[in-house]
Amino acid sequence: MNIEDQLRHNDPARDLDVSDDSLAWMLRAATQAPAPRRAPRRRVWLAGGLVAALALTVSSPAIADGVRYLAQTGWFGNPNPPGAGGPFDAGDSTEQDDSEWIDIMSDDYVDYAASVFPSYISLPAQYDEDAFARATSLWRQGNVSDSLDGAPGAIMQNTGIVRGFETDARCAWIKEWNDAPDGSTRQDAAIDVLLEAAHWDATVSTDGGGIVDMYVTQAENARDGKVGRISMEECTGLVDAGVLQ
Amino acid sequence: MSVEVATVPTTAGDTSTGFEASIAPLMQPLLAYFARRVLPRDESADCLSETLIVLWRKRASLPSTENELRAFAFGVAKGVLANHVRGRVRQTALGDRVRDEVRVSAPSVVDTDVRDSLAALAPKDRELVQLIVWDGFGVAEAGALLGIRPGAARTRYSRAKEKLRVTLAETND
Repeated sequence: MNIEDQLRHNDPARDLDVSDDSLAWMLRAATQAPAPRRAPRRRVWLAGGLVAALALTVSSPAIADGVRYLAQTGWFGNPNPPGAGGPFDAGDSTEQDDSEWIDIMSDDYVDYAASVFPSYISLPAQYDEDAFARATSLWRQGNVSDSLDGAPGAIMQNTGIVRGFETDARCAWIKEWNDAPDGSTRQDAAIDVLLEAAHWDATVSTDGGGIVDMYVTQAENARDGKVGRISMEECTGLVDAGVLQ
Repeated sequence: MSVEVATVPTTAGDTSTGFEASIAPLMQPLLAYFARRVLPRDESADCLSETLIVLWRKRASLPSTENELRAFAFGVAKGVLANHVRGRVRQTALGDRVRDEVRVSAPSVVDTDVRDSLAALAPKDRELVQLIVWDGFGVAEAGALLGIRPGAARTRYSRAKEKLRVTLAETND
């Protein structure tokens, strides 16, 4: 089988089965949809005037835990409930929970993010936890910065930051498993963590359906010898950025 | 695989009926494009709905030939995909029905060696290969979508395939 045939055989959409009726319905609905709002989905908001609005409307937050960061907005949950008025049109906000909104472009964002790296996340031995947290946060901040399109700021809920760390750590363990000799204690340790990682807090709380199960199946397939390598498809950004060792 | 040049049934921008007739043949290819690149996979429905909304808003200026319209639509899809990576594609009711079908549509069994060899290519080379082999674009068309000249696209595609062969051979040894 030549390389093109091998690739076609491994087309992830090969077995995709969505009815033409549903697609026709979507197409028709798109022509009748109202003009899209500019607010992006879920935990990341990019908003014109956001940072200035924050400075004007949010009083200095109380210092609860000793250290506060400029990245902390003092806003929790929906910062502008539908009908309340204010600097955002948040009527269709789908934020995950009541965690605090964090200013990703703040000068001390990386410091803040590193400070909330969860203690339950473990990393392979070659990683320094703080360095890993900072490197992945810097990489994520760069991604958001590239997408600002002239908007002065971007905010993300704390749960989104933690979820990002969980994904990044999972990538580190997948690479560990792939790099380790077959049947080695390194592979055993990596699988133990990957099985546990499927149930890490933010992964579970942000699972819209099937994600936890997918991660469990992925780890079990590796543990049971059904795959020779675990796919690093979700990790290509970190690989390209040289964050994974 | 390339698509024959033909006249689109009606000017896409004229009416919703004309728009639907023009875009309908692209729905499955566009959904597949996202399903190949988006995780979780069911969010490909949201990317598709976002693409449709953009195309609908631009209906007055859509190209009038199938080839050009296809390239235009995939150019929009490329932008939507970039926004998805940045967390900027919203989940809306528009995608509900297709999202449910994508969710229950079993993912293909893949050879992780092949997929990881592909992932090991430079991002632009990887996308070039995917556009050609999975999405059915010609080499020059795929290159145009990525901003690469036809000659350079041919060279990069050939080099990428060779690298895939070598990587897979090493993996199988």
